[in-house]
Amino acid sequence: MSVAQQPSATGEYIIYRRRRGVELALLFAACSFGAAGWVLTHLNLHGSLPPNFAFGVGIWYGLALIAHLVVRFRAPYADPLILPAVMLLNGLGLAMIARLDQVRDPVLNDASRQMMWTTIGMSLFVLVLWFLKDHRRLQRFPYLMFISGFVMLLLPLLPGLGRAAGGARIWIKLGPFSFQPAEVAKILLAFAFAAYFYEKKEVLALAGKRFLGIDFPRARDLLPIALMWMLALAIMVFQNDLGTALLFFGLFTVMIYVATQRPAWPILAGLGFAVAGVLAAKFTHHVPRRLGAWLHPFDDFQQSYQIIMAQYGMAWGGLFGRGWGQGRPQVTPLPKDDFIAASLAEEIGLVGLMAIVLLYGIVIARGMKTALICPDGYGKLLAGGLAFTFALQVFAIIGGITRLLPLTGLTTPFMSKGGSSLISNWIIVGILMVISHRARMPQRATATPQELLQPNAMTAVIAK
Amino acid sequence: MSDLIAATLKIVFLALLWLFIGIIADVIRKDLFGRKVKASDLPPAEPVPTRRGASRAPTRFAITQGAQQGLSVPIAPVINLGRTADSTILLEDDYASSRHAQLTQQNAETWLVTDLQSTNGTYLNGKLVTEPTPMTVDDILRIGRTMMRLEV
Repeated sequence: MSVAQQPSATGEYIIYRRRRGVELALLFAACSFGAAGWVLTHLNLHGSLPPNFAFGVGIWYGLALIAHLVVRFRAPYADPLILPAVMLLNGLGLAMIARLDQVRDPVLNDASRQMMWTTIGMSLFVLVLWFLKDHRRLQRFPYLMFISGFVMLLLPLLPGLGRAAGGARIWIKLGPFSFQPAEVAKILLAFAFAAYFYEKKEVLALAGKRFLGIDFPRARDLLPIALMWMLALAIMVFQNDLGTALLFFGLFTVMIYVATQRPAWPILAGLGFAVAGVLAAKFTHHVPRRLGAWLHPFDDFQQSYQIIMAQYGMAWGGLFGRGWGQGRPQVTPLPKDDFIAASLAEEIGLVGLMAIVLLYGIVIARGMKTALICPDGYGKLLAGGLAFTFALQVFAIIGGITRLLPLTGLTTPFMSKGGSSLISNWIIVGILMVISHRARMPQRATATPQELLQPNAMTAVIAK
Repeated sequence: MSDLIAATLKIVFLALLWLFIGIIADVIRKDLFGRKVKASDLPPAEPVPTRRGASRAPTRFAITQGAQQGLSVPIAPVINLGRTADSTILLEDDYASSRHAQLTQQNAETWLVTDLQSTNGTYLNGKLVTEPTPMTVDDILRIGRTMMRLEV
């Protein structure tokens, strides 16, 4: 007897096209922008190709090809747009770091270091795709994930291992390399939050008291997670890393919102954030300085030097920018780290910066789309939360350098110089790809039950 | 390099960057909704190796699709389906009732599906279950958005 095709409810399947060929074409096109930025810099500055042109370009396209092949074989249904968009952003960041290396004599070597971090990040991306067949396996040990996330967060406070830089004690030193464990903790806590909320979403949304028009969950449901989260925030504030604290806060809020579908949560969190902001402005001396640099930077030239220089740079860049290698982004302090978007805006202009913002938007939108079509609740929470952290991060840092918001010390994902952020972001992209692979696989079309009922039978979600 | 060439390259770079975004937008547009196809248009599923005269006695009861896809329990003489904690499989489906359906073993290969007056009904191979109906490894049971089957 032949094995019967599984009969489905409607006999129909939902198919998303794989589009791996489109991904490959877009990926190579995306790589070309980083390479072009590098070449144009050298042409404009020295009138010649970069000295190790063939080597650099070979590695760059080779990495893209390997990433593509692994996706093709391990996650063939994954979203075709995430990888090219991320590769383009990473390439522009690398090109800008290489360009800023040129301003010193002798030239610096930050770009090769960043290239090495990119290679490590993409290797981890490949490993995630290779070993993580089903993202639901991450759901299994929520409390263990919490604890390891905490250990990661606490590591910089250990004497001997931790290292303070720029007023924040968030680094650990391992031999010649320093690493920011909070970036990895971010991923672990995202797994843990998602698992916990997935398990408790019904009781969080339904059980509890109603007060001021808001359904408050019972303390025993919310307390463990709230405690964990407040501890994480306390550590971050204690380490003087408000940017990352903001990120955790946002991640927690969006996950509880997605899990419970109660708009009261973001409203409540927004109010809480406003109160915390006012308190911080009153009782710390760090935050009022940032607020001053945001609202009236030109009053104090010494204090707001960085932000003023970034504004001048972007103004000088104008609509189309000075061109690669022809601006002076090095005048701004930290042009490769927090202010890399300002450096890029100076050299490729507002038109280029808008393209960058849009590319981030595309990565985030594809992440959210993955969350929407994902069949299981855990994948929805995880994909939505991870995509939202990207959104919050880009909004905070690009808003900060353009003086839309006060400046918070966050990295620009995939572009800023620095290994830990790059590596953790590549891991996040790997996880998003795994989830989207599961979400876009052909599924039997489960028609909404209404379609299958007799016309006069109403569907009730809540039982009689 | 002359200023004119540099300015041209600058503009070309930005134009291509936006062209790239345009192409991405086009890919997104074509990808908005998945296509619905008939089961017969799909590439054939990998054939499950069945030996002639192989046992058709199920060993597991599994969820093949839905939020809990992949979950399975060893077979039991009575399988309770629903949202209450004492169900054999605790369904996480908005359309499932607390005590939705019951499977009782009839012989080694057949279980009887009984709908326990659920709100949204139980479907066996797309047909509403109104009376105790026999179910074997060939049949697909659907409750809300969850598909289940007996597995050898």
